Amino acid sequence: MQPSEQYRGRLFVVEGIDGSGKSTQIDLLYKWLLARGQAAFFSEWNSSPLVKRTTSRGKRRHLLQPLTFSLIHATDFADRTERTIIPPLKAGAAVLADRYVYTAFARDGARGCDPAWIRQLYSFAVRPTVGFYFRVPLEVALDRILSGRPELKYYEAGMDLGLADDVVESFKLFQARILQEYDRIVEEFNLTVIDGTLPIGVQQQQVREIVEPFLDGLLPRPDDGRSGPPPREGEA
Amino acid sequence: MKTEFFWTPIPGLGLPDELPGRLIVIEGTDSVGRSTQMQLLRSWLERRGVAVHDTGLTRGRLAGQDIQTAKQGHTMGPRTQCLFYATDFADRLETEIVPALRAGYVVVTDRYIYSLMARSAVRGMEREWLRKLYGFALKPTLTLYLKISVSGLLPRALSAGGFDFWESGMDYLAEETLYDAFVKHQSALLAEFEAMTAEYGFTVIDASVDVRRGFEEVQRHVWPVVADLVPSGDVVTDPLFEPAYRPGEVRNEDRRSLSERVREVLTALLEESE
Repeated sequence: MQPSEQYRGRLFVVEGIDGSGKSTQIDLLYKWLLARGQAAFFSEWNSSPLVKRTTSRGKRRHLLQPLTFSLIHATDFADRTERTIIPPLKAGAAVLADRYVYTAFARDGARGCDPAWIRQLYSFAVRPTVGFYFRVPLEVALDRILSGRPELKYYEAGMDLGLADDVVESFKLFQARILQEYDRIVEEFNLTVIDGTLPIGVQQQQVREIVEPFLDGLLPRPDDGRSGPPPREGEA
Repeated sequence: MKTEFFWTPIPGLGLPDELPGRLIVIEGTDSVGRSTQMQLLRSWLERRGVAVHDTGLTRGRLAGQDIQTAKQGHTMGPRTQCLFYATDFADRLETEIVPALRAGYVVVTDRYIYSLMARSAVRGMEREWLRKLYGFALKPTLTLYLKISVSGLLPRALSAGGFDFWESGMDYLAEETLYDAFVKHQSALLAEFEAMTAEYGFTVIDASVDVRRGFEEVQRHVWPVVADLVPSGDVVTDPLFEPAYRPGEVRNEDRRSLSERVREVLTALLEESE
């Protein structure tokens, strides 16, 4: 990955399996930064308008295989890097990313892609200033997701892998695989682990304490209270 | 053909060590005459009873259409463009090329990873990164590189409708005219192909000669890799265009020379008139 020190801005990313609480935490962090008068820019997984049509067509018609699934997300990520990550970093802003390359490493790894190939594919990514990993036991995450949102999508549940005929069963098996991948990734990339079973406020306190030392000299937000697009609703 | 990848296999495909088909790549820059050679090759093989499947870049069902749309807006950065093409290529490889090879077809493809890598390299993508990105590609049986100089290319580009925005690299070059950009972009592409020729063992076809002579060269190189797929029996020839090159098949009618046949006809006519 590319060193982030070459930019004036700072890049903070959150990672974790579905239901780990990472989106809640980064949303709170975003609002805190704005409240402190910082320019914060939000960049989300799967958000490139250019690639969106292809991704949704592929997902809707189940056209994606592990290799194409991986590449279309890398395309999305490249567009995101070229548009919403590097420019605000150059400008000196705090850039927040909900899911980053580690999501690809975990998901594509769980789909059987060669780990060395995936890492090489994403070698153009900027290394985050801090990469948070929200660790929760599988049962906790499954309970959070399955109790609130029973309508699981085909790829989200890993149905393309043929792990199980039942969607919920497949989702559980797939998430277990992803969790295993994350465990390797956390060590490999030295991610900052937050206990995702702690109360939301306690986690947020820890996140802020870790982020704060990096905020000196960052771009202030404009006076009208707006700064970059707000986070979208829902999961990527 | 042997199932070999440049670096790492396509995940989840579980291919056998040998594929019954053949993969023939026609490479070369824009308007060098690839599609003409492809058409000739296809009909030549089909007349001999060989099943041919032809394909080309950005014809994939997954991203092909969207790449064309995105190109209209000129909104893609070089890395995004590169990965979009790679996605489309991967889709075509998995869902079209590999199944055809499994079924025993001779797959003839108009461009392969080489064009894709050359285009991205001239736009600043790292060559090492590109080679690893396309590490999932199958090694072709034969890669025919139609080689031409920029000056040889100019009349072809003009007769094909002038200089195209993308074929002139106008998305990344800041040249005064399309002509300047075309020359600069095409020279850079040709340099990339030149560098890949030894690296990937291209079979170089001189594309500056006329189509027919070029095709004879193509036939000469293709025949050895497809000969075992040709069924025995009569060859149906095309009266309008029967290639001059005759592969090493031995058939009775081929043994009879033209003069022999003329002599036969004349003898018959003479006998009639007597």
